[in-house]
Amino acid sequence: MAPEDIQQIFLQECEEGLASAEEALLTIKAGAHDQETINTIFRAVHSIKGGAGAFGFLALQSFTHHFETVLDKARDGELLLDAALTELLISAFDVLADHVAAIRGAGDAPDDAAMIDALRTALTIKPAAGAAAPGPQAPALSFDLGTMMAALSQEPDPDPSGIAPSDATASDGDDTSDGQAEWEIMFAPTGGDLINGAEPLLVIRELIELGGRIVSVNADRVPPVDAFDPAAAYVTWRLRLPGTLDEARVREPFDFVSDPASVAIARAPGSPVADHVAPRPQTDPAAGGRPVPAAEPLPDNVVRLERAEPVSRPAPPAAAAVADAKAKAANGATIRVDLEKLDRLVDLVGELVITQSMLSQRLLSSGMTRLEELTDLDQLTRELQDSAMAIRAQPVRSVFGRVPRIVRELEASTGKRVNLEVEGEATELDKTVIERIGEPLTHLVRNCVDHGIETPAERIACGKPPEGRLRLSAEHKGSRIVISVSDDGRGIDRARVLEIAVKRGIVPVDAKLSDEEIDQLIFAPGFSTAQQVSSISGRGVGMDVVRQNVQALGGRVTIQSTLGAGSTFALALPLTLAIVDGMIVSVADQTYIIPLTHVVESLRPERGAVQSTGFGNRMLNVRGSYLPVLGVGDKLGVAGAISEPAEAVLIVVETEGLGTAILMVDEIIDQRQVVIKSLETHYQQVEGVAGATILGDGRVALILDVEGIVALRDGTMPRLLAS
Amino acid sequence: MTHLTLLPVLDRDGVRVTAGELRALSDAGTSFALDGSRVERIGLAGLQLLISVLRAGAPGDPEVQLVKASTALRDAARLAGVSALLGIEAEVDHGA
Repeated sequence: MAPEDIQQIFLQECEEGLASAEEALLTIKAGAHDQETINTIFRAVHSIKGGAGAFGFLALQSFTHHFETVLDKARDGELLLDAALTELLISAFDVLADHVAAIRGAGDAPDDAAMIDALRTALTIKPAAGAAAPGPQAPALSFDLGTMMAALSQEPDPDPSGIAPSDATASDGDDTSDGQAEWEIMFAPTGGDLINGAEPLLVIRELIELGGRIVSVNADRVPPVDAFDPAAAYVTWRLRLPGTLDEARVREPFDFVSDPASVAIARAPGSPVADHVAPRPQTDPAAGGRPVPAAEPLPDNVVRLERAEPVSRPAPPAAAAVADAKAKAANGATIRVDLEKLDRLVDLVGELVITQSMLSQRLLSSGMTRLEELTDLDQLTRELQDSAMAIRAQPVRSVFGRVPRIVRELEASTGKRVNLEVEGEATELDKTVIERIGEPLTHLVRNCVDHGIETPAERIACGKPPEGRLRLSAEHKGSRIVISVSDDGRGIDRARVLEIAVKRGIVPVDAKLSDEEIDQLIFAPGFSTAQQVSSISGRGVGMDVVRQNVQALGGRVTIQSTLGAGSTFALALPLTLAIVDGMIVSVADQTYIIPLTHVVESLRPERGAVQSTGFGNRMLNVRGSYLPVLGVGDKLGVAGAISEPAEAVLIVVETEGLGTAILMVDEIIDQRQVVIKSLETHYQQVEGVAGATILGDGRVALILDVEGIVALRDGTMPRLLAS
Repeated sequence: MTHLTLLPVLDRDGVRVTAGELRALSDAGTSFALDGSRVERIGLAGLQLLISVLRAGAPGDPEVQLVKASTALRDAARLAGVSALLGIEAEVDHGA
């Protein structure tokens, strides 16, 4: 596996670690945590730290070290996990997420100095009642691995009394005051540790933070300067750690050393002996595999750790996950594919679908209607298409994952309190859709928190709990995925929305609009500034952007709102942008596709059933509801279309913002999946047309933008809404 | 005596550069003083290099001294337990 592949795995692991850590932090914030919750965060941060060191991301490694130190104290009960510390951990998490994002190339590395200071300060604050007294401390970060990392220019601690003694002053006694023999550690780092960022001094410092002390240092193998190799490790240490520590804690600092055999851990004399350690020659990869001086021979009572030796504790999460990923890769369970190749595959499958359709139509027109192979080919093509689409599918979690932080930031800036509920994170949809819904979703969430949810005081005054509820959900509905953002805030004040709309000339003074139509007004660009909207219903920040983006994806936005009780914004999105189930219709000599997601039913009315209402408008009473009848030929300027409804076919369609309407076409030809081709890419945007496709006979057919067509029925407000 | 001011960052690259300079001075048979007052970052590789160059050589070899040590250098040496090997505790000014 190439290094970049392994690094990619590390980044994936980072994302997973961040997700689990964030979930755990929110659990803590909700007061529903237990010991495992904080352990989860610790493991995630620890794993990221290890990987950061291995890949040389020093700033990340440094930050995670500070973060981890606080987490360690918190899980040991040495720091009280109160609201203040929880907030600090959440803020530190956000900085950590920024570090990871920066490595991914999604922004600059954060300035973490203030947060590191805050983490350091937290270590000095009140310990939990009854907590064990902290052990000896490392030199208060005056030497921070910062020496090897970017963030270090700190002033020294004025009282470095906790600094490990040098070999000249160290005690060599066995502290068995707790009835348990001390741990003895022989640590002979290799050149690999220097290369991959697993700085040995960081390990030493962690050991000292655990209460350890250096018993002796062996620098005998450091050669004269003319033979000095900067990539080799020569110095070895012998240390002692309190016997009260469990073995896992003692081994933890060594999780990421390059060579497990460079560490030997055992109880000091008197403890059980598992193995003997023989002097070993080190092979330094940085030195071209040539031997480097051997470590100090270890005492006979020290356990040697071999690579193959089963260790009593599980592998660290990151290492285990990377190993697992490697194993999967080796077994062929997963492979990494360049996205361009995947897009090419999807394109080719689309072309295959078209070609299959053309072939099918040609054979059928030649009278070959009973070809079993044709049916098989049709089925195989569909399966191939579904499989190709499935490859591009991703869980919506990647988009939802950014919401908790947005909410936290809004809480901080507005003083509001929000309880975020998330559901359906595993729901999958096309990668391109995933990538494009981030912005509208962010707008909606900001809008809900910023303007929908009231301040705690306001909520209490109107009988609500001080903490607002924001619910984010995703679910499949037919061939669509519906992402909903709900709040229990103040809801839309429609009277004021209408008032402002009239004032701004968006609707006529005498406009009679339904609740749905008024709600849709907040998507108009005129409502897109915070001042205007926040002064009325509190809705509208960037809402025009929401609508535009969602419509560009072939999706729809609906609103349900109750004044004083809250609002729900639902984004109905296609599972894929490449294929649509469509009804093929004809209008004069033209063929069009109507996306099935809009189609309710088709009718052939009796003569006279469709009534004129003047100005060319026609209505049909469908089971008690009068629906506008819109001739597709009229709207798109197609000459020769059937104008008498009784001779045409009426197709009842639903829209998100404009209610139900009827499209009048000459004939329904077929119903099938079609491959969407962008009209804008090949020609230009056309009002009322969402795209194009190639039919089985090779002709190009336009895919109707039903929302746009229905909006064309009126020259004023709908056009504005559609904009 | 020649003075060589150590680089602020003695990471692996810094150590490689410094090792080359020290070799050159050593080969020239020149006694020199190392000024560690500007060291801001140093890890094991840097400490090892200092141990290497400061270790007493054969009689007649050029004399090498560490005349100043920054806080970062001092703390790193103490953390690693090699202060005495570098002579930092007893002989060296704290530096800037």
